[in-house]
Amino acid sequence: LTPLFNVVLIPIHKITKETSFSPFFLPKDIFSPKTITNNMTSNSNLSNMRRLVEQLKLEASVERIKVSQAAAELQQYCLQNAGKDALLVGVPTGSNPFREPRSCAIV
Amino acid sequence: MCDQTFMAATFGPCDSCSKPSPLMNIYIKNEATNYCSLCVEMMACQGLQKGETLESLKRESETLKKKLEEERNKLNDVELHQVAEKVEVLSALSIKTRRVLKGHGNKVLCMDWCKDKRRMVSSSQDGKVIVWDAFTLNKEHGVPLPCTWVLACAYAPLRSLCLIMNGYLGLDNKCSVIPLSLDKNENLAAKKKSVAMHTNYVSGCSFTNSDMQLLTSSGDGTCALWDVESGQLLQSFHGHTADVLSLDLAPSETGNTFVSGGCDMKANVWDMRSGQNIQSFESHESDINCVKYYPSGDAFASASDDATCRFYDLRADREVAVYQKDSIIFGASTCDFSLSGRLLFAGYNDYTINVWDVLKGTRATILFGHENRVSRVRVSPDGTALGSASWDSTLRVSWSFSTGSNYIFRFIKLLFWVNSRLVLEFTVAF
Repeated sequence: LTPLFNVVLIPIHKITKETSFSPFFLPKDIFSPKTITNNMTSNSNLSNMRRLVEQLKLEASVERIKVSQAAAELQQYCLQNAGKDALLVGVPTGSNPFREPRSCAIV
Repeated sequence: MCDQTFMAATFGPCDSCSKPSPLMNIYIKNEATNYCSLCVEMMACQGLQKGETLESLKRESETLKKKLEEERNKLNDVELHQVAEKVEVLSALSIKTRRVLKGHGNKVLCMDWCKDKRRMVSSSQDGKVIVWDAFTLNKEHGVPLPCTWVLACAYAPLRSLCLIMNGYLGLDNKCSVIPLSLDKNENLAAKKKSVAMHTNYVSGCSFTNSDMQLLTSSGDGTCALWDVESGQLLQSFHGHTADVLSLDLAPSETGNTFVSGGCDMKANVWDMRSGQNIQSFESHESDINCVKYYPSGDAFASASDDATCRFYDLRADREVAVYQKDSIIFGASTCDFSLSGRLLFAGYNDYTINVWDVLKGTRATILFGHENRVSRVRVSPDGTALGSASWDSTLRVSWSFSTGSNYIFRFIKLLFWVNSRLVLEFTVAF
């Protein structure tokens, strides 16, 4: 089971009906291949630069908390809800998980 | 607008618009810059602020970026897995594929669960959208569509279906809403209503908390909020510099933010009402294929072509965990959290689904079975099962049986077997 090449860029003149059935291409590869990007180097455009500076100023002013506090709260949420998580705990063997009443009867 | 004739000493890309053309060497505040004549005109009309030039703006943005990094690093006092060291290690998970849904003729591109927690909808490249019952494997509806690139589908909270259809070569970049009903004879394809239109392919869609508004992300680099009834554009979100591949809404009822990830390797958090980009995270090394909020709404995870999944906390405003392994070299195309947020399911292009322990940063288990790329994984709304769609044209539903009751079950089976054997012995003896 060895997967083949992941993504291949195809030039526009080679796009035919068959490419839509080919195994490897996603719309992001076909419809806007990254080699044909005119405006991607927009950093040198003056108005874009001004917008970027404004955006960075906005992001710098965001209120932040310490990672230790954020991590502790994420962990607390996990542990609080771990009992209800059927993928973690499991449903009784042989039962239909979709008809399971949502009471915490799983021991 | 035609170019004035002037002595052009140089020819090349203009500093301002990057188009190659004859350049005028001009001095702005004693700095030499090369602009094409069009940009010189525009600049004269724009009225630069005092002392502002391209160079000074570039320098300002660099210093601001550095300052942002410093501010974020100041609060990075500990890593998530260090905080989680005291948490019990996960016992061996017994999640296995229990159902395989066959019926599509080509790659399944997308799937979603219905709010009744039992039905699933999937779309495939053979042009069909099928609604399944996940336990009985019944196909309830099949909607044939005129085009092949049905990229995504989502179930609205109140039983209508949303589909993204991109025509051949991106000519039909529409998002359509189909109201689903119980009457099987109804011609569903005729009732579809086109809601959203973008200038490039539409990559993701999601209903907001009601059935009334639809949020879409597109290859033209923008996201947009639409009113379903009138098809009107309510708000558009600009800020990505490349295709936006995925979006996810914040889970709370009152929340009005969403996160989007794209080919520019950035994940942006937006305010839906103002259209403002609130926070931006840039630590991936390749396209972000999927973003998903943590169940509490304070964090989100992203899956990317650089073979990693990363976990970002919104209040600490930084990346707090990276889920990667040297043995994983294929990109992740999708991810989803379990109900408690302890597990992160990520589907990869090497045909597997890796299940990560979110707190400890380690891999809990791998799910094998698909025979081609996994295009979508979704946990059911009440967290009981995991649905996965793949390019091998099947969908798989997996859930976990608890090992405790396994023994009781097996013991009862054993009793019955012993009983039947004893009966057999006695009858034979007679």
